[in-house]
Amino acid sequence: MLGYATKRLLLAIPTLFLVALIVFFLVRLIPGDPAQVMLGEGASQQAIAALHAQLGLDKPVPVQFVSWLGRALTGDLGTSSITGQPVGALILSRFQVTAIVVLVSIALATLIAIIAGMIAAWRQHSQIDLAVLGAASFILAIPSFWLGLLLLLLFGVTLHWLPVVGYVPFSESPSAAILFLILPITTLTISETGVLTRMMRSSAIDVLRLDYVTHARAKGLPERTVLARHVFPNAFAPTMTLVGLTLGRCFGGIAVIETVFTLPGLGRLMVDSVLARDYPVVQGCLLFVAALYVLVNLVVDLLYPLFDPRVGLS
Amino acid sequence: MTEPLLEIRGLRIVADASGTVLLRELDLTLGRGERLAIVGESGSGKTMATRAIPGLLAAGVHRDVGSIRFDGRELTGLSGGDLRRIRGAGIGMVFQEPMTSLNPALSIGRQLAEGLKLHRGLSDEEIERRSIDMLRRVRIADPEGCLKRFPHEFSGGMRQRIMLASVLMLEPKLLIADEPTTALDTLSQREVLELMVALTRETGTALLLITHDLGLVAQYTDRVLVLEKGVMVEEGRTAEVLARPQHPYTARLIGSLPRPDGTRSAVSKDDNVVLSIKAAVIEYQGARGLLRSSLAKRVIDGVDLMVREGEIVALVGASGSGKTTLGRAALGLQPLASGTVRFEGDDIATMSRSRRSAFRRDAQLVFQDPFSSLAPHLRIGEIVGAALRHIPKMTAAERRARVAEVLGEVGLPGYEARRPHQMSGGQRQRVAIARAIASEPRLVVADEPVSALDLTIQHQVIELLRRLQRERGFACLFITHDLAVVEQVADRVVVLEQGRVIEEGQTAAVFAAPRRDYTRELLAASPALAINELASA
Amino acid sequence: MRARIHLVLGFGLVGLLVSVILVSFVWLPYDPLAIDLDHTLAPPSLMHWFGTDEFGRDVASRAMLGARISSFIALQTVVITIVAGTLFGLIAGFLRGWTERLVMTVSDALLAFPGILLALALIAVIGQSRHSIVIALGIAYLPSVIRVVRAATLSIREREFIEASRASGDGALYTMWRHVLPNVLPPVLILATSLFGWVVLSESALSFLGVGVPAPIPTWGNMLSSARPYMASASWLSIAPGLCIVATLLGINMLGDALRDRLDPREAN
Repeated sequence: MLGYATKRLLLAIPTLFLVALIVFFLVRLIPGDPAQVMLGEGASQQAIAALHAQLGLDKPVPVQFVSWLGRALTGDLGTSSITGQPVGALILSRFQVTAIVVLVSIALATLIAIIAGMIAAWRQHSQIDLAVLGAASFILAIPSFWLGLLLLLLFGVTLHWLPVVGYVPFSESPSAAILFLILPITTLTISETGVLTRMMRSSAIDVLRLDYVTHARAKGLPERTVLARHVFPNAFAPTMTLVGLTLGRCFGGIAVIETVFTLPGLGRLMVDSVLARDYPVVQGCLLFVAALYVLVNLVVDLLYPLFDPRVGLS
Repeated sequence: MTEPLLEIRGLRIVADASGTVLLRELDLTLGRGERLAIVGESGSGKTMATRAIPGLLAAGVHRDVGSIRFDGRELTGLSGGDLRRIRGAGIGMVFQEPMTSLNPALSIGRQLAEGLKLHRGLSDEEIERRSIDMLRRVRIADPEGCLKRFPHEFSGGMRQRIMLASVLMLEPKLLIADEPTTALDTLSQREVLELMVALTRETGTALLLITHDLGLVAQYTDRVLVLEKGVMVEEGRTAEVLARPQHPYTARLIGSLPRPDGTRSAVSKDDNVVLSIKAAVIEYQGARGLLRSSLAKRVIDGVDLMVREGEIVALVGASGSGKTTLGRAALGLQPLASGTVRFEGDDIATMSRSRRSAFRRDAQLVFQDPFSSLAPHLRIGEIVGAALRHIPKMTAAERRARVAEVLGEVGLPGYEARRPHQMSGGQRQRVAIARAIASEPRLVVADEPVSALDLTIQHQVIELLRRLQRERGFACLFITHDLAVVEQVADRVVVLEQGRVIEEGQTAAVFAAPRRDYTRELLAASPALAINELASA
Repeated sequence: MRARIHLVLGFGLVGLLVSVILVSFVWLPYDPLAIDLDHTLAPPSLMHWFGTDEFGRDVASRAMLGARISSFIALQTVVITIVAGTLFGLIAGFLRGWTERLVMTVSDALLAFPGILLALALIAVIGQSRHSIVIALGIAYLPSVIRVVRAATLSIREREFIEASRASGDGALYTMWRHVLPNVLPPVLILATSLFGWVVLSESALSFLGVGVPAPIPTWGNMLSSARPYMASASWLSIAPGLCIVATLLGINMLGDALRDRLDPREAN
């Protein structure tokens, strides 16, 4: 088991390296002088020259990459060309909101998916199965930002139950923050339940066909034990992988939700900096989210053997 | 007159959607401690009949009418709770597929403990003690360690024994075994069945054995019931039914058993050597790990093999013996680490392009799996004519004519336009044979060509192969694990164990007086041979 | 039973989409870009079926044009991605060795960037336009296609009829073309329909964020974006474009499901 864990950890390193490489070169692809590109149109000659020196732009490219990577690993991701703020701190502060929304939503969505998916598979072809499948398929066709708009329209504008704009950081006032977070979390939860439920249902159907399930029933085990002890662990494993991928996808795609509900999150930061051509921030966000994604999938890989022991041994 | 343990009257099973009758009015009685076999080919309804007993029919079928009395109680119409109490404690079931019969996510210990905890409510220590004891009785080494391990760490034969242990631990009165050894190799088969019979005899458990293998029936059961397409056609004491079958279907089944054929003429030693393998070594590269590379494993370790013109040589061995790999090597599809393969005198590793092209035409392969060896997206005509494309100067019209001729020979005239998925397993295998002989090869390697087929179909296909070989005179390397087929078909037999040839010679001689223990064991373990002895007695 | 509903509804909705697009080539109720400051924010009526937006532009016409634009972007992206992905996936899965390692390393590196993040970054570099969306989304989805095709190729490769083909003397290229490709097509086709849906969704999301199709060219995504300030006063602006997206995606998903039911490799023997 330890061999598997170290193997996975070691495999993550080259991936992270390639990610850093791509992020570094992405900005260099923009035609023109990198320093000018980074500082924007109105930058002064001195500022450009200073950045030149700071980034070592006269040195060969591999050296630049190594020093950039070195700085990034210590947390120095440069400064915003618009606001001058250190990118690292900016990212971390924005990440709080994003993290809360994404983690809570995906946790809820996974729970719903497990229950709905297993019940639908257990009673395949019945009315409940058709209802679950129909609902999941319908959800897949609804863009999350439109769902958010509709919910906002209903609960915020029409019913005035919940606030429409604004945000209060969780650290300042949890109760107020929750009010602002209910709708975004509800939106993302509903959106992601669709694909997770379908996956759970499909793998549960596959498992229910297998001999060991019939064998468990043949031993006289009550149905609920059969489902919980024999079906669930084996059906959940592939869904867990999907949960990891979904988490990663949401860290990027959350931008739309943050836009709809005007939350000061990481996604919105990324979009704003793309529009404003604030390249240091774009780079920093990319690096941060991609690294996070690799980490999340690594954790999923390490948890996988708990549900499928066949994977634990290399 | 004691009441029988199991009494089924008029059981009818019907498909939900179409209403088709899948099992028609089955009557069956089983006394305490008795051993009854239910025999039938695919589609006979044998599995469904037994699943109906503890009420475990699959979705999509249901019991229409009929009564099932077990141990004095009527099972149909019992409440869910009552039925569950009988399952496991009264009726135990063992399944066919060892790879999917144990839950991969739970340790062996937990799976063994489940049943006892549910039905007897014993303490954990007591359960562990009994589990270890039972594992020892099914001859699992290191039973204590086994409890903590997971199913994927054990081989197929071991898993079947573990499942047997978990079922028999509950001391059921009836054990239903659904093709429990079909997926195992010959030696494991014998081990598991012997165990099953011995243990059920000890505890007085009745055994309901479902199988398609008449050899097993002959060796291990008291009575037999024959099913054909959902209808019971014959029933009685095993020895009686096998020696003097009343129903034509039963007679056909018994007649389809591979039998030694006295009509084969001896092949003279001077005949041309078509295939010559010398000192072959084939290595399997272990998966290259991140930090180290595994040692290469020798799948074939110094093998000499020869097949002459007009001869059928059987290559026999258990799974893992390397026989399939050697067969591929004979055709140049598997490279040798060292040694040579010569086809008609030429080393295939150093052949010129044109010679190699001719070699590809003159040496053909018949695969085992009729469902995956035919390209699903092509028509039969194109599949059969595949090798003909490489014959220089053969026109399209000539190709078509040859394909038609060959299809006629295998009994499928006019099938050129059909597609594989429209045909049965036996028909597909005949197409595979047609494909192999279309280019008029000098060597045909047949890799377990009938293992995946029903007994009656098997018989047809083997007869076809033999006839074609007699008429066309090609050399044949026949790879199989079924010794009865070897006796029927082969002039010489080569026995392979773990990549080495441990015995070889004329078939009759080897079978009558095997020199090596392994060969002796293989022969003893082959159930079909036992029937032949019974029948010829 | 289920397959038939899916087929009917799927064809129906997609048919509706296609008809709207075809009609939009020859006739639109109004000029989608025409500004009419006398009739801004008008609710739906017989004159303007979906009402008008803040510039007095007819929403229905803009929605129809949006349908055409989004569909074309999706079509271009799907074609490029499927063709390139199938090519790379095939050679990676069939030839294995260093070819496979090279393709998969690059592919996995791209996959390390979640969802539309990569597309965002690429747009940051290339600039914002309709073409840059195609390129950005194409590159973002390419690894997924390569993955699926490679997996399908690997499993087909092990089937005995491939071995039979080689045993007959067929070359690698011939085998790939004549035997592997036709059997890889069914999962690729299913993937293509799913991909179409994903691209429509991604493009609308990017346009909603303001980094997609630039104004004033209408696409459902950016129409929803500009509707936000008027949520309270002109709610129809927020509803109509969304309904279009949902209808389109429902149709495509259902068609994809019906296709999957037909092409499922687990054919009954």
